[in-house]
Amino acid sequence: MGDEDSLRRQLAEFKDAGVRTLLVNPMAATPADRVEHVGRLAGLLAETP
Amino acid sequence: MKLGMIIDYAGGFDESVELIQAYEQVGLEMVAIPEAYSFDAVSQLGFVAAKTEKVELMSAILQVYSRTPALTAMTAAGLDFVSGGRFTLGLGASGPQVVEGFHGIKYDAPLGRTREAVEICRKVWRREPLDHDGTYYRMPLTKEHGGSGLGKPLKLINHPLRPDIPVSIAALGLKNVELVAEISQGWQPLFFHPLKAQQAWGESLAAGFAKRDASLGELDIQLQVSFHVGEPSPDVIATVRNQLALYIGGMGARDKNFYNQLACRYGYESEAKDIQDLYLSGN
Repeated sequence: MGDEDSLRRQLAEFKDAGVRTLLVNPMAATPADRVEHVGRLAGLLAETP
Repeated sequence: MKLGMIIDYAGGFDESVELIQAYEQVGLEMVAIPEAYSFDAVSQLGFVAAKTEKVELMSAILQVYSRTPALTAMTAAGLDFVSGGRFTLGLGASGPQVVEGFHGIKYDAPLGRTREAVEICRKVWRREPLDHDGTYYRMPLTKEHGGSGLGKPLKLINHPLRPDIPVSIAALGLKNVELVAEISQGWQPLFFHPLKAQQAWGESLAAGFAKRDASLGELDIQLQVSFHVGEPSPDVIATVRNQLALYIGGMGARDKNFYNQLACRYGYESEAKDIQDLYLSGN
């Protein structure tokens, strides 16, 4: 949880720990919001070195 | 990293597929469908397989006790076929509350049963005549072990799309994680902490990897995680807090709560005890 910089750091920690698949649960109120959150996370994942 | 999602088993199948298709548009690559004491996961996996083309599918998880290993193998081969080779067999031992409470089956030897179940599945997928003389499963069942003596070592009638369907095992305990590192392509650890995982499971993983067949490839750690982009609202924090309290406080008997034990291995002994005391006292 947190802003995009915080999420980038957490994603990098997961990757460094050997995580290869994230099974995510977006904490958002509506289905449309959940889809939007997943899209934003996909974008951050694509940026994770 | 691959982006996947656990699909809520409380939702309708049509609604789930509509959402999965929307998630796919924004980058989702895998959906995992749980099975507790809900609708069975297989029905929904088959439904999703028929309605999608690209997204990978995984059970999260099928319980080792609730199906015979041969039926688990048949089911996985069928789901892999109907999905065009997109299925991963997620397996787990579950716990005595569900296995004994809902299925009425003694919860014994989860490690041994899991190991043998995976061995049997792989034999079935390779279409070997099923001749397995294990400690917990015997096929054919001989007269010596209570059978009629008429059983024959049969091989799967159909040709599986893939003889090496990936297996992913849910595990938290030290010996179970060692088994995962030895025999499984994937690992589904709940509450995996990237900075404390070595502290909790480092020795188990190393022991398992030392016996691992290289053909299994690198272990695919498949982590379930709740997330929120931006500052979480009090409602979001409360939802996560309540989920943690349920697992650490109330999932399993006091001395058989695997999640509480994991929190202790992470170094949160005092907090884990407080959560369990409060939960079990009804707070």
